[in-house]
Order: sequence, then C-alpha cells, then structure tokens
Amino acid sequence: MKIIKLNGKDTALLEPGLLAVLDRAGISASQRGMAIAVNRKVVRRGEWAKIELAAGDEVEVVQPLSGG
Amino acid sequence: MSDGLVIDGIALPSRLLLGTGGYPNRQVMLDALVAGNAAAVTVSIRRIDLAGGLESLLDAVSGKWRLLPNTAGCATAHDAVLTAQLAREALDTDWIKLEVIGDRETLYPDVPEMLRAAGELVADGFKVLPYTSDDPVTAQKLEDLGCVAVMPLGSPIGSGLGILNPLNIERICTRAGVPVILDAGVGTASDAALAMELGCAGVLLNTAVARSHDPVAMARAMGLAVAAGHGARHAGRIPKRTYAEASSPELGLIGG
Repeated sequence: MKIIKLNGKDTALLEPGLLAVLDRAGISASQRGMAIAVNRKVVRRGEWAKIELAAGDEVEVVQPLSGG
Repeated sequence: MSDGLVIDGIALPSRLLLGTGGYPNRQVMLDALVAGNAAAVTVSIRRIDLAGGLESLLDAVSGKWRLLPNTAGCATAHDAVLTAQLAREALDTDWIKLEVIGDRETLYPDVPEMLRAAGELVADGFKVLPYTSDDPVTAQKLEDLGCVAVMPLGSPIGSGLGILNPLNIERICTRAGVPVILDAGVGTASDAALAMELGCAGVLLNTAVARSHDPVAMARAMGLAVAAGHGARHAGRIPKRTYAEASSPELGLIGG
C-alpha cells in the first residue's frame, strides 16, 4: 500500500489526487484560511485540483488559530 | 486617522497590537479586541485537526482587524519560513510576526536562526516583524536586513514581569529607523505605558489581557496606557532630580 504523511500521520494513498486525499480525511477544501504545502512547498489554492501525490509525499494542511 | 502606528506605510488605528490566544471564550476575546482598539491582531498557523473541531477564528476576526500571523513555536529558520509562506497563502497577507524559539523554558529567540529566517523572508517579499531579544545589536541587524519593525521582548513571553531592561529598550528605540514594538512580558498597564515612555512605537501583548480577571476591562486599560505613555513621551517629561523643588512660591510665607 502507498503511504503518505498527512499532517505528520501515515495515511493510505488510495487515490493520487490531493483533493481526494483531503476529502477522505474529512477536510473541506472550500474552507477559508486553509493552506497546503506538499514536500515543504506551498501549493496555491488554484493548483490544488491539479496536484497528484506519490508514495512518501509529505502534505501539510494548516489553518489560522488563536495565538499571540 | 488618530495618532496611530504606521508600519511599512500602512496607518493603523492605534498603537496596541493584541493576541487572540487564551481568552475564556470567543466573545470575550472579540469584546477585548474592541475595548483595546487593537491596531492588529496576531494569529498562529497550525495543522488542521484531522479529528475535526475546526475553529472559525477567521470568520470572527477577518475584515474587522488587520491580521498578523505568527510563526510561534518554530525552532528553526527552515520551519519558520515555511510557516510564513503558508500564512501568506492562508490569509493573503505578506505581514509576518517572525518567531524562532531557541529554548522552550524561556521562549527566548534563537537569534542566529531568526536572522537567517528574516533575511530569507525579506528576500521573498515578506514584511517581517521579528520578535527579538532586548539586544540593540540584534535589533540593528534586523533593521539592516529590511525588517519593517523590530519587536524586542520586555521579559519572557507570558511572564508578566514587565520590562526587565529598560535601558536596552530605550537604546533600541533611540537607534531604530523602523517602529519598535515591545513584544512580550507586559503584565499590567504601567508596563505598557513605560514601553511607550521609553520610545516604543507600539506594544504587542496577549496574556496580560487574556488571562486577567476581566479581559475586556484590561484591554481597555492597556489601550489607555499605551496612549498615555505615548502622549507623555512626546510631551517631554521633566528631568529627574535628586533633590526636592517646591512648586509653591517661597515668598510670602506666614511667620517668615
């Protein structure tokens, strides 16, 4: 089975599309303030639908939270 | 526009920047931000919780206050730069409060890593506001790198110890060509007023308001203190003397 890291967690890569991975993880791609990096490079929102992941990729999905 | 802070040509409505962490609840936070007339509010950038429970902070503050994302918790320039880039994408702002922490106990900045990150971020088009030590040499280096402000600590983050080295803070203010914003250590209103009297252009605080007994009242007090300190600084205080000087005339005293 192909495995990626999604926010630090080993995650099965059942379909290569980034949006499909987000969907399976229960992450809504339409929410405001979300940003994504794949292998430590930021992927602009407009590019998300074109991104295909491969085994070993590291995906970071972040949002703003409270802080000082 | 009132006598507010100007950073990189952007006029802000006041000189008090407030954090959004640690309040009893969301409504108290929003009321405190209003009461303090926050010039900008800081937010962190964190991984989305895959287990759900998404926080709608952005919906609550976006459009009401200028957002200043931070790189809080980052321990390397590498992570801080990526966090800043994610923040820019998430919030559509090129302003970043740069934090690179060198020690978990004191939360003091790792100066070499911070300088490295600041240089990379400035080159990448960011407007960098670095949280730094109260060291005038480091502050100068940050300004030379192109940071739009420098933000020395008064004392450790969240400590409430106030300004431990007022001489250094004043020296940083005297030398700086960019706004100096005291960041960290404020415990109560007199600390914020002192920062402004020393020449700071603004104060950034979070815990002193969020963890106070009444955050809304404390935010209001901090806003007043910052304005009072700024006013006193520019009014020009009297010189300190080591002897008394009577205010009332000495002539005409009865029994003389």
